[in-house]
Amino acid sequence: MKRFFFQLVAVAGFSSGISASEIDFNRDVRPILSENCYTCHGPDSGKRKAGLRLDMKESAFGKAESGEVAVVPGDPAGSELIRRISTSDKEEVMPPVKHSKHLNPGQIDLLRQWVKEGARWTGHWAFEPVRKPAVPNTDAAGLPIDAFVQARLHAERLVPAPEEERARLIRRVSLDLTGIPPTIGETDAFVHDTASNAYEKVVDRLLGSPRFGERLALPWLDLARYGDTSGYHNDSLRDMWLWRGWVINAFNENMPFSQFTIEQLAGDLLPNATIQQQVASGFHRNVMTSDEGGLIEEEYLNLYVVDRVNTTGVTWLGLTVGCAQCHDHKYDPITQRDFYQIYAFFHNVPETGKDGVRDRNPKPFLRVPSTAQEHDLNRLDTEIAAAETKSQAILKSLDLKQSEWEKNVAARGTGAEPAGPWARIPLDTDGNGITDAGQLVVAKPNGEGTFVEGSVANSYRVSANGWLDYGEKFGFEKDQPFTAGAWLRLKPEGGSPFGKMDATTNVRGWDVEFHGLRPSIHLINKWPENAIHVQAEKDLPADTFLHFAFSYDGSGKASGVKLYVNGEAVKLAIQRDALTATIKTDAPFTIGRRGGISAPFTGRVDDFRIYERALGVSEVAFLGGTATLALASIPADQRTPAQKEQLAKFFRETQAPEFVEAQKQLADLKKTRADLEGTVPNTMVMAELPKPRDTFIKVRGQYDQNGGKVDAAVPGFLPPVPAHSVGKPLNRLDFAQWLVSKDQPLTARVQVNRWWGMLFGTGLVKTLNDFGSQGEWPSHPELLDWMAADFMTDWDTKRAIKQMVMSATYRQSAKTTPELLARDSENRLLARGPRQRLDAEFIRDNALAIGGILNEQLGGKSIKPAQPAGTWEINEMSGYTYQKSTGADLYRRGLYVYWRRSTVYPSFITLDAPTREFCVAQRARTSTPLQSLVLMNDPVFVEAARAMAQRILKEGGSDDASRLAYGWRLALARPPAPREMNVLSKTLQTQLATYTQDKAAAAALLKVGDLPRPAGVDESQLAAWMTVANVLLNLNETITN
Amino acid sequence: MNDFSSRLQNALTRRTFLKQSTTGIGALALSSLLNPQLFGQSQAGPPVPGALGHLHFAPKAKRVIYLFMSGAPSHLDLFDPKPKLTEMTGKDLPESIRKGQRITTMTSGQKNLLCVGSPFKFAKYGQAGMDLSELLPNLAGIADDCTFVRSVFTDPINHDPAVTFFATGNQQPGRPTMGAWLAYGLGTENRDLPSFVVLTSGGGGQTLQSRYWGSGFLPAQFGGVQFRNAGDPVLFVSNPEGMSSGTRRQLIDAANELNRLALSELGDPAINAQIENYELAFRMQTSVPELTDLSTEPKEILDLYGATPGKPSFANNCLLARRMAERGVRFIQLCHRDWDHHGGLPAGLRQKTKETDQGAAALITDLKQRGLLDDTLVIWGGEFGRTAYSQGEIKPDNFGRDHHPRCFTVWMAGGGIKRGSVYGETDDFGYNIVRDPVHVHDLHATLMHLLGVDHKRLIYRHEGRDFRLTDVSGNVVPGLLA
Repeated sequence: MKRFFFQLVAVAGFSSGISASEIDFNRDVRPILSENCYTCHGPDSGKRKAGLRLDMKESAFGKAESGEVAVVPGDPAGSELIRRISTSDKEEVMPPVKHSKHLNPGQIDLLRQWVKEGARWTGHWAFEPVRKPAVPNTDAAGLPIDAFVQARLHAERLVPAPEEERARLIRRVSLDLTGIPPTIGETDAFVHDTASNAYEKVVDRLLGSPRFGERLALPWLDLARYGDTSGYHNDSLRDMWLWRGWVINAFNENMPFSQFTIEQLAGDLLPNATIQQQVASGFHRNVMTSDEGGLIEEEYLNLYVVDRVNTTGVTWLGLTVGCAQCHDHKYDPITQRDFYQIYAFFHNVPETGKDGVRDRNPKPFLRVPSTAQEHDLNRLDTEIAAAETKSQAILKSLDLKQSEWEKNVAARGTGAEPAGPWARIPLDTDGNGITDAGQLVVAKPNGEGTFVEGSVANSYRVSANGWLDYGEKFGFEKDQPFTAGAWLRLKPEGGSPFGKMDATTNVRGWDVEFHGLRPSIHLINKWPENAIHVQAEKDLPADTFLHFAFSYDGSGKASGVKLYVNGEAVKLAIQRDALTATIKTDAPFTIGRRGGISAPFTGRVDDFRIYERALGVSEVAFLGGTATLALASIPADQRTPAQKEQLAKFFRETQAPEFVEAQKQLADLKKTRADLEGTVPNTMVMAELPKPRDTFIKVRGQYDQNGGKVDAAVPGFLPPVPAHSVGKPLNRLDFAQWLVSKDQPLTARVQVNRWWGMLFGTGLVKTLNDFGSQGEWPSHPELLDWMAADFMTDWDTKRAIKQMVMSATYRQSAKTTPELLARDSENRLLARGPRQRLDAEFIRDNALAIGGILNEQLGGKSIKPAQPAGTWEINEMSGYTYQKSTGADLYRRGLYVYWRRSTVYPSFITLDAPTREFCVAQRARTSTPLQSLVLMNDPVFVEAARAMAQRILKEGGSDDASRLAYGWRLALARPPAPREMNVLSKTLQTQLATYTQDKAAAAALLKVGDLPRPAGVDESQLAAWMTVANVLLNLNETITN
Repeated sequence: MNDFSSRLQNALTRRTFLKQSTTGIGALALSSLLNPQLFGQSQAGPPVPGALGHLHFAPKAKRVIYLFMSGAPSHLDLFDPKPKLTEMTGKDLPESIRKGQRITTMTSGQKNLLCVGSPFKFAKYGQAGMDLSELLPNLAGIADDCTFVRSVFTDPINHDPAVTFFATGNQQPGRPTMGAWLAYGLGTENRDLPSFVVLTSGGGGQTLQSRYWGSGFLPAQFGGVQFRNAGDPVLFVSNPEGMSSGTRRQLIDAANELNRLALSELGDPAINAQIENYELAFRMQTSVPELTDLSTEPKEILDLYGATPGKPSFANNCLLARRMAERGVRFIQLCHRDWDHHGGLPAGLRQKTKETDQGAAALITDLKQRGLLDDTLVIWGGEFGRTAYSQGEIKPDNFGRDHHPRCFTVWMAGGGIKRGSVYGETDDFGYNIVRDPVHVHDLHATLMHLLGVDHKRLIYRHEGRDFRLTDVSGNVVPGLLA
């Protein structure tokens, strides 16, 4: 009988030819029904035929629409199921002829036998409660894990392999638990440790290493589809590394997996959520987002939520929930309604379909300052508050001063003039003016200028057609300071509003000249070689009065010229700064053009004043403040609020330098704080909209086809939410707590199985991402349940993993034989130890560690190691360039490498890393020639070979033999066998000869990489050792645990 | 080979591996399957079969050259002239045509959707009287080798999902691309080169995501290998400076000798796979530079394409595609960028056709004169078409067209495709299809058919269900077949 079933099971394509003792419904029967029958007789109500469900006992054993009974226990002949699968009638046979699936004779026999034996029916194993099975009694005095494994081996008449030799074992467990190989010292200590707990000491050390959190984080990043970019369309840059750091820390601190789950799915909803709990909630912000022009909001919002449901389904439930997006699941009892009820939990994030950003995080995000930054921000906040208080205090003290000042101003009429000597030309009715000494300044009018409305009473208006001539007035020397100003109303035609300049020979003198609306000031001895010319950097506004003044300090330098517009200093560009001789000229001073001849002005000039000294900023402000000062004459209670503010502002700025200074200090502090805040990293977090979005079933999964409205709820075929969640609208926190509640059977099973797969190469359930009826039956169901039940007692990650690596099963030798391979090629029975190629990142880490150049800095921003030029750029639309990191950052661990989803770091993708565009529970492990090229020639690995060679020469003793053995042990921990030494030795000698002969080649080879080359080495020798190191880094054993 | 290997051969049957590779993740097993040494063949030469084992029908084509015009060329200005549209220029697109269908948010906010006719002259070419724009003089010369499908349509309206859809049959990332499916299903004809190669040209324009040639849920080895225009054509194919090929050979020999020692000690077939891969890698170090060296091509061939060795261009890539076809690369995907003419369409199209017309036509001519066109399927097309209405203002020599998924033109040649034929028809506005619609899934099904594959039967089990390129639809289009 046993033999009979072995054949049947093998024929059914189940597992890897593992024999079985008797028919088990879940193991043997359900897979056949699921694979061949469920699409029409399964959970999908939309496609169900004949009202028959073969995934439910009641339906399978009851009457179908036809009145026939599919399964009559003990009576194959009376069972319609058996009749229909065995008939030769093409009209009747099931599955139908046109169906793509067909049963083979072995499967038909098995179903018949099952019915004959009474058709024992059980619910799908993974959805049944987790009950801790009794540990089998075996001869072996091992851990419970070993008892389960050995009981099975015993039944299969297989024996376990002996324990792995110690050097190989410590290398395996070090790489498995930390992704880093043991040092030679660690290996030696273990090999020579005679204590009975020698191995346990190693395991405890590894579990306590910060490298452990990094190692466990890696598969979690695959599940969480962690990336440093947005993925869709132009693949914008984002910052999520704080979340990655959180994951690493959580594993290192051995946060219970239940808490680990809750904080990542709903950390933001925890009462008084800490910053770290909010950071953790970023798990579901790792979804890809798009900023593509033209996209439809609802379409992409839907995608983001669907991704969250699918990812949650695989990560915690081990189910292909995504199959129920468009219709009821074909194989598992997940309805489309279930799908959208889970969807509702993740549908309330205040995010947009078009993320709208290309180089930063879309909202919502959280700023997370470092301790130092937090300290500085707090200090600045204190300083800002103090400066604000000071400023306010000054302001308060100004009230009294201002009203007294106002009184004086009002009494004086125009306020206090800056001290002279000065001349003033009001330009109200004619061109005449007066000096501070009371002398009349007489103008001779020319052309057609008129006096029209001005800024202060009237102004002088010209259209390049008139000027006022003052003769020899204001003829300054080049070392004489002076200030000239007036109200101007400009026109695009420009010209010189005033100036004293000889237009004919040397162009000597001084002037203001507008080219269009841009003012220049000239002080000229001889144009252009001996002159100062400064020009404003911006145009001034036309058609409005503005106060325009410049001062010159007599220094003969362009920097001695200052320009003020409306009392504010204006930036000047120095065009010419080469004045060395006199600017005195016989040409007249004129208003309306310069020197009475050139640059005729278009516009208005009002209230011209000139001082024989350089006025300061507040004096100029005063000068331009005439209109404001006039407000002081209006009684305070009759001023409009705008007038009050204008006057107060003027007073503060011109009469209260201490306030101006306090304000400047405050502004400076605020700017410093803003700059610092700009450098504070931020990370995307989850948040809830104040008013949840309505959720509808999407008909056929179409984003724009709403069906019935649903509320957030857990799938109906699984246990309900815990009591404390009952009776209120459910949110993400309820959902997260439900996932790790004691009756929910999937989370623990799925997670311990994933760790088992990480350590043993294959999960007890091989389909890590599918615990549904299409998933594989566990190779050791009792062991899986025992571990799941055990895990659920405390959700202690380190304990669960320690238990696995402490097992004799894990510690077995990995050696195998053709006979065992034929029997169990995938090692599902575990009659030997695990052996698997390292993950991409660990292959790189391992090479860097062997070379002694791995930088073990924990956490932080992503880094950009060397990658071939153009890798990003050739396919790029947004102009992002890959800025290679420098120094020690080049040698950080692979899981910190910047993850661009559209263009993943080349060696990683070649070595089977996923793109992280979506959730991946298990990486493929392929072996390809492109991988060989990476290990042979990627400069990262060539540089690691150089580092390794340098290390061997420095640390490996003085003769070739000890150096070769040292290098071998760096890579493989164990000592080399004589035959292996021969190969290495021959290689070294050959390459030594090659590179001694060709020194240029040696020099070239040593140039690869950024590491400094040691001084005074024999380059030929180092190059030869580098080739030996290259061989060692390319060995199958080196890239395998 | 040592005793272990021969025992291994006896112990493992090909069937065991096949079963594992198709019933689960079994990627290692799959790679072993593709590794003939495991089955006693130590030399390169015979092609490596794919997962299918045998084809479903006699194939018409053995390989595909897919000329992907990224950004979406305007069918209205190149292939599908519409006098009515020209007549209606500046007038609103009639609601009877528009039908309230969804359009992108780049134009959905426009007050008017104004018709704009093509500014280019069209004439009829070849026995089918195919209308071609004055911008495609070279294509006009080979019109009799092609079938022009004017009635292709797709689902998405934005680039990222549309390119993903055209490449994988699904708008979301995660599925294998056409080339990956064929590499997986049909295996390779030349183990010294990747079976799926990608060449890119044309700066600017939409991002080319590596997923457009990715392996999706298939193991990474089936994904496209991007050949680069600068540096190593295939990443890391060159030895470091200062390491000769002779030294590399010695190092591989040393590594493999050590690997063989490990194999006899540990017995893990993965070691054997790696040994073989180092041999293949070494051969690629010769075969790749030889393949990409265009300087050996005679002048008349370079002139035919308009190719210049050392100066990357679409023309060079077309010539490389022919060389790859000769060497048995299964799927050759060229991507030429920047066809996304939302504005400046007349000048933009002039530029793009100038860059591509000669090379594409030369490829057909050259394949034909070498007898390769018969079993090489060439496909030219973008991810969707462009709108009959203008995006933004219509100026005398400047306007733009938005994305249009409801119809666009794809041309195909060789490999069992009807010669000199026009298939499908659009309405007077080039907006909706009025006859013989061809969905992207149908195009995929037809492509598979020409390669001897029933698209419903090239499947891969993933997450509990069987996936295929055409998802749950797709029909072979008999009207396209010779």
